Amino acid sequence: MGHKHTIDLSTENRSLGGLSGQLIGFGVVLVIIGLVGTLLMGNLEGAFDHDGANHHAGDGHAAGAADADKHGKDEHGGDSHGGHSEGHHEVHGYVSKWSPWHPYLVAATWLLAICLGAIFFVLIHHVTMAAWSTVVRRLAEAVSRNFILMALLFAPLFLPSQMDKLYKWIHPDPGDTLIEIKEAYLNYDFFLIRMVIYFAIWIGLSWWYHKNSVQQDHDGDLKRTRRMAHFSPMGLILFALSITFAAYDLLMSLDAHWFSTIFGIYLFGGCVLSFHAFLALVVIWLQANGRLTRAVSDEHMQDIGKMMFAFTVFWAYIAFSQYMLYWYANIPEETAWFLRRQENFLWGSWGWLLIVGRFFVPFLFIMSKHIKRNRATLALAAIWMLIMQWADMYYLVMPQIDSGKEFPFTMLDVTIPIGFLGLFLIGLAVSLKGHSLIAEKDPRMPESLAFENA
Amino acid sequence: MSDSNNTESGFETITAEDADNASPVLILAEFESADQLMEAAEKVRDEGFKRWDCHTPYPVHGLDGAMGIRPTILPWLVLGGGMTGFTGGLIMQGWMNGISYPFLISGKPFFSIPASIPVAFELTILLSAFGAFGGMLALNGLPRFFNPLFRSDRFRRATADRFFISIDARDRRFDAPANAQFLRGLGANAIEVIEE
Repeated sequence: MGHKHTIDLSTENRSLGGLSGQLIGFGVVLVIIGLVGTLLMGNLEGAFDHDGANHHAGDGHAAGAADADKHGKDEHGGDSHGGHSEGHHEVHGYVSKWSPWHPYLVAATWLLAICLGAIFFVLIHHVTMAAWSTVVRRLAEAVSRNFILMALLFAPLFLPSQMDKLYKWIHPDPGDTLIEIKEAYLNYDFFLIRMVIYFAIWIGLSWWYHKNSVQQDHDGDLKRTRRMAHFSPMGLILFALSITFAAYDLLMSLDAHWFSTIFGIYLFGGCVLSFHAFLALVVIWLQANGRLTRAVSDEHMQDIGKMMFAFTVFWAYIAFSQYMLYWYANIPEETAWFLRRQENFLWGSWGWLLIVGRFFVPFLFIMSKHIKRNRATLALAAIWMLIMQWADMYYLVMPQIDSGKEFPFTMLDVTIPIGFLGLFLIGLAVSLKGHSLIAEKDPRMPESLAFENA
Repeated sequence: MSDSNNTESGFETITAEDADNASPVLILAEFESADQLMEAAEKVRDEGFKRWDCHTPYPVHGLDGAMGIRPTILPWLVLGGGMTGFTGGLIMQGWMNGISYPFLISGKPFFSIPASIPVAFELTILLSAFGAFGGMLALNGLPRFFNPLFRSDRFRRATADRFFISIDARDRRFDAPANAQFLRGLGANAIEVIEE
């Protein structure tokens, strides 16, 4: 409150300047590592393998389906396996054959999560008219502009010739009534329309908030602040609907038989968590290079750490809520998804990795305020949380692959995320370049600069 | 209550009416602004006083540092409460459902972790809250129904627009006239010694 807390920004280095070259260079190195690694070590066979064991007459994209049938025979001794009512034979709602699109989807959703968390950060701080976060809001706006990159990365997944490598509902097994009744929603055309709508919402929101914010740097127009706050509730509703349905479409429909109404919130928890982790790393990196050294104080870092802590708990709460209800009700249709992740040692261990590594370890580690205020320990927690976000996406996508008898881990699981992260950092450098690193003339800036935890 | 004015030392003395052999229990200094209080608090801290406190109408950021307050052990009490709640909740359910009164419900195991998490979670929260609330009261020596500070009419403005420093008579550097002079030098606009 007192005079000594006033921070004079005129001497603060608050433009990216020469650092953009460093960030782009680092991004390019990652892209090259990812690309070379993928080409050298990756197994790309499955990606363009159109005429594998073709099962269905006149159907050119049934590699997965054929495999699923094989799986059924291996496990249960044939399609005529009894015990299922209403013509529900050994049909699967998921593709059980590995393809390079699986690690591709894991890596793409991993980074999409950071972008989604970023636009949520911008919207929620406008809707609550929060002041503490104003010093880092420009960074969130810049991160969210990577939605354009994400749209480009996701686009190849949606090629009609490739989608059936991931999504069984494109070409379901004959007699699969569970998918047939969902056909009005789960069909290629409507899926594509929805994807266009989601990305239009995300790109539109991130573009509009970033544009208004950087223009305020020049004209100092207070009406912009009001306008951004005014639109934020609507933006949040659009965000909530789009992230929920995107989670259903991109990840839940990997097993089109399974459903979970809480699934969108599950993804959301990870999104907000990983964005705050990423934000902490960006700030620490900027400060290590002499940017924003006084504008962003220990107090702000502590609050970013608090959000990381809070959403660690939130994620665990939602994950457990999803699990416990299905465990308790014990209805086969619902438990199948978890059963596949528990019936063998590999995925059972992966589940424990998430419980311990994604909840207990960071929960206990980041609880203390000293850990949050120390740059080194906060960075350690942030890196750990980002790795765990990837592990979580892996857990959502990979166990569909043939009964998990073999671990589907390939070098692509490492090289694709590294390459995508490189592109992501280049995108971030482009977004940050040419603008101030903070929202210069935001009316809440003085309050944000003086912010202290009570 | 009787007031006497010690003009020589520059402070008023407030004594409880029913007090026999009244002796000072604390000295109270009033300041006009939070900034003045902050500066004064730093000086009082540097002078080596241990048993003293600041009273403000609203939370003043940075005052903890100006007063040299050491970190509290309260977080550890909360952690202890939370961990007691979590393990206690699991043990309680394990004993009740698994040993004392096993009852088969929809084919579930008598005791299982997933079914026990909600209660263990709630008890974690409950005992953490008890730890925070009870620990805060205990560490502050509360509840306390009367404080000699309330004898001062001036002190009522501590909830409105005045800022106070009080020094407890049990502080080993307590010496009413000397302290009064010291506090006056820090910019206090009124000094009172409260006796009991």
